[in-house]
Amino acid sequence: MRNLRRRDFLKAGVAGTSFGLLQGYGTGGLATPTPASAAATGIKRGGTLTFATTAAIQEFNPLMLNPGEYPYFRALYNTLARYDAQLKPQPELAEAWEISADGKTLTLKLRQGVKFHSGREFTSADVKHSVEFGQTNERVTMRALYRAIKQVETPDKYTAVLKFDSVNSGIYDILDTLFIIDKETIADRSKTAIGTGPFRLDRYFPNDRAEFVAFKDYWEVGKPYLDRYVYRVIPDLSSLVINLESGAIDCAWQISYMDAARLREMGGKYVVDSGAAGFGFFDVAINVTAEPFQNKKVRQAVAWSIDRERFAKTVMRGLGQATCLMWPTYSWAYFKDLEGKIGYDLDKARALLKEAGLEKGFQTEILTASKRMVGYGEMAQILQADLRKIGIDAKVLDVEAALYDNRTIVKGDIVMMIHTYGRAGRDPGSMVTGARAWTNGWKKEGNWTHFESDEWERWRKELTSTMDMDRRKAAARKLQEIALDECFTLPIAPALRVFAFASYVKGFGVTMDNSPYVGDMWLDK
Amino acid sequence: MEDKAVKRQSVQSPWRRAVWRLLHTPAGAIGVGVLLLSSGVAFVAPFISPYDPVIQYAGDELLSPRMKYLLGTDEFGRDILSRIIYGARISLSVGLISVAIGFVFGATSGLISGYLGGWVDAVINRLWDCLLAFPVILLGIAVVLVTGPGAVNAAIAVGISNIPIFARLARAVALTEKERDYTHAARALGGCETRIVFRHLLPNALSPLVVQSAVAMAFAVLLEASLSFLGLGAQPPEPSWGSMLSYSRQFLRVAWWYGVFPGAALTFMLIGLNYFSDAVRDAFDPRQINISR
Repeated sequence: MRNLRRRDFLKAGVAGTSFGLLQGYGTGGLATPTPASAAATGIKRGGTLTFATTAAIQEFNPLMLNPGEYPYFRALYNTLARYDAQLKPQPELAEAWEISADGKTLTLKLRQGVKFHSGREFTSADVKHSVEFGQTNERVTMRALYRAIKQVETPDKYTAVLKFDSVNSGIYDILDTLFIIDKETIADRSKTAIGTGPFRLDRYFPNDRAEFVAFKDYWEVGKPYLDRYVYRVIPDLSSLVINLESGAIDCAWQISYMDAARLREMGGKYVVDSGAAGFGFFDVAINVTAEPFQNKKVRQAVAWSIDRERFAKTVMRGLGQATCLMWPTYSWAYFKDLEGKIGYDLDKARALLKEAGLEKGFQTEILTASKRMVGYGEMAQILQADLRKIGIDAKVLDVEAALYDNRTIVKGDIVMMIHTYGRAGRDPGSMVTGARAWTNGWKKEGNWTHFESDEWERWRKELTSTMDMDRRKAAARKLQEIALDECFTLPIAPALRVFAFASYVKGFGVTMDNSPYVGDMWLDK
Repeated sequence: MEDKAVKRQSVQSPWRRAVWRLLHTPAGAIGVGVLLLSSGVAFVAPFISPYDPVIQYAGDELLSPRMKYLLGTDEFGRDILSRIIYGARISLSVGLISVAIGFVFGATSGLISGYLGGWVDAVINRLWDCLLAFPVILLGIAVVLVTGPGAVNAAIAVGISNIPIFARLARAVALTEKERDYTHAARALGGCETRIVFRHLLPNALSPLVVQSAVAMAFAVLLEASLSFLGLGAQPPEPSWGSMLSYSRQFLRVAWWYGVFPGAALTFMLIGLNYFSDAVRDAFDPRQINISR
């Protein structure tokens, strides 16, 4: 699979470099946009690129980071900075930045002359508004990460000052994920979208497609290369690939692992890219307040009854490596000696159930949404079969994505669910802070595992608020041990989201969240 | 010989004559044969099924047909033959339950509304008109969305969609039969309305209702498969032909057997049930009986 090794290598890089970046606290790059010399690089301009995925756009809210909707984020919006291929932050809407000596103040120098699609100028007030929206909107995934920002000052139109209570290990993750939204139209996000990105929204047909046209006043001179960009929704996995093979679409995201293997074997007609490693992790999330999962031993019994290897081998076709740990193997927060602390052992699982007084088993449910993501349906059925072996009769509730979101994000009403947590490739502190399913004190706002622990919170703060690598490693290890013991989240394997596109599509690249840089893409035909 | 057969028919009751005709036409024989075979397979499923249909055999995923697995395995290593055998149970159960729901509620309401007339007739009819206004599959989806997915709820959904059809048929019979002399006689003799409806009208409405039941059965099997295909019928790991077809789509290029065999089973049963319903209709058709005489 193209790029997998390269990306793995790069992610290994970020694991090593993120601390270095933070330690440096230097001024950010002062790069200015250079006109893209299309002729010199052989880039062809024009044409329409059609990108399809299984997920419909629920609302134009890029901070929601709704799984499946990523292909339009980088068409419409920009962030303040973005990681480059070496995972070093590069200027985007912030031309330069400076972190104070105590690590508590981040001063951003904003790019001048940037316009929203409405024609309004981008200023520091938009940074302040985007931060506040990110902190308060209930559907924003990484609210907790943005809440580390205690204050945003706007001394002038082109300067924004972000103040923190303490050193924050996730500063660059904030800059890379905080999409700048338009304060004048964000309230109308179910119908329209305004950003500063390379494309502006032309037409939107809910549950079917969104069509974008090149934004003539885009700040990055010479981009985008395409005239039009179309985001199509094709909910059925097999139809998605058939559309690609028939030429109806140029790119597809979240194709099945089986189709990925098949297209790869077809040779040069299609390019298969496994996307950003560490983008997500398959896990089973358990509500620790639901009967009978209040008992830790019951959760541990479930953890010991999951055949992770089988899932990785048969469903993921060997593309992902099974693990019981939260962080990917290339992360410095991955502790190899803890691998295998939970495995597949039905006798142990039965013994734990017996200790919990439930040797006769019980009935429960597994919430999933097979149309939400590749692997969700299969994982639910494998888990159901595994639990059956230890006497747990689990009913699979395979619901539509909107209903799934309603029970998780809105109500926090789950018992056991198939899930993916994201940001596993980012700073370990950002991951545990941004993972809404686990964050302490969020019971009313979406912590659907309902896990609350002072000890967890103490080590999480330690992980995110120090630059001392030894202390950070110790904190990450403690968090990992707590997770292995409490079993509120049961990691299974990295969740690769595979892209496939026709070989004439060039300039393909994605963010750490698998959002394609559409402004860089072009068609060689 | 032919005279003997005609003579035998003429002295038998209409019901026995219909059964005789059903079994002595090619379509009827095929239909009855398929129905008996399917029912038999469903009934003895635990004894003839080579494997437990929900057990996943790790390492045996997507195996092509072979001696160990005669019809191959699915993506979880489950035996497709066993799932097809057990799937027949769900298809037939849903068919029978839904027809029973439609028959009982539809025939009762139809006979009552037709016999009583007036505002009762108007209210009941408008209710069924409302149901008939929706496409059956949409109605089924709506019912399942309210009651939740599952084979039983799918059967209820299909049954509800059957009610207006049975009701219309029964009402038409009641409107005709209530003006007949025997009905007037029953009323003159002091028979209560309940007795007249169920003792006198119902037996006369049975022929068209039985024909409709046969048609509805085939339709119910198809509708259950459609709901399961959409993920609203039998839930994992229960084997349903519709859900097997749905899941198999992803694997058609690499595991043809996964979709072909459940599809063939569904086709086989639907063809049989359609032959059966055609033959039942002909068997109860007075014109056909007259022709044969």
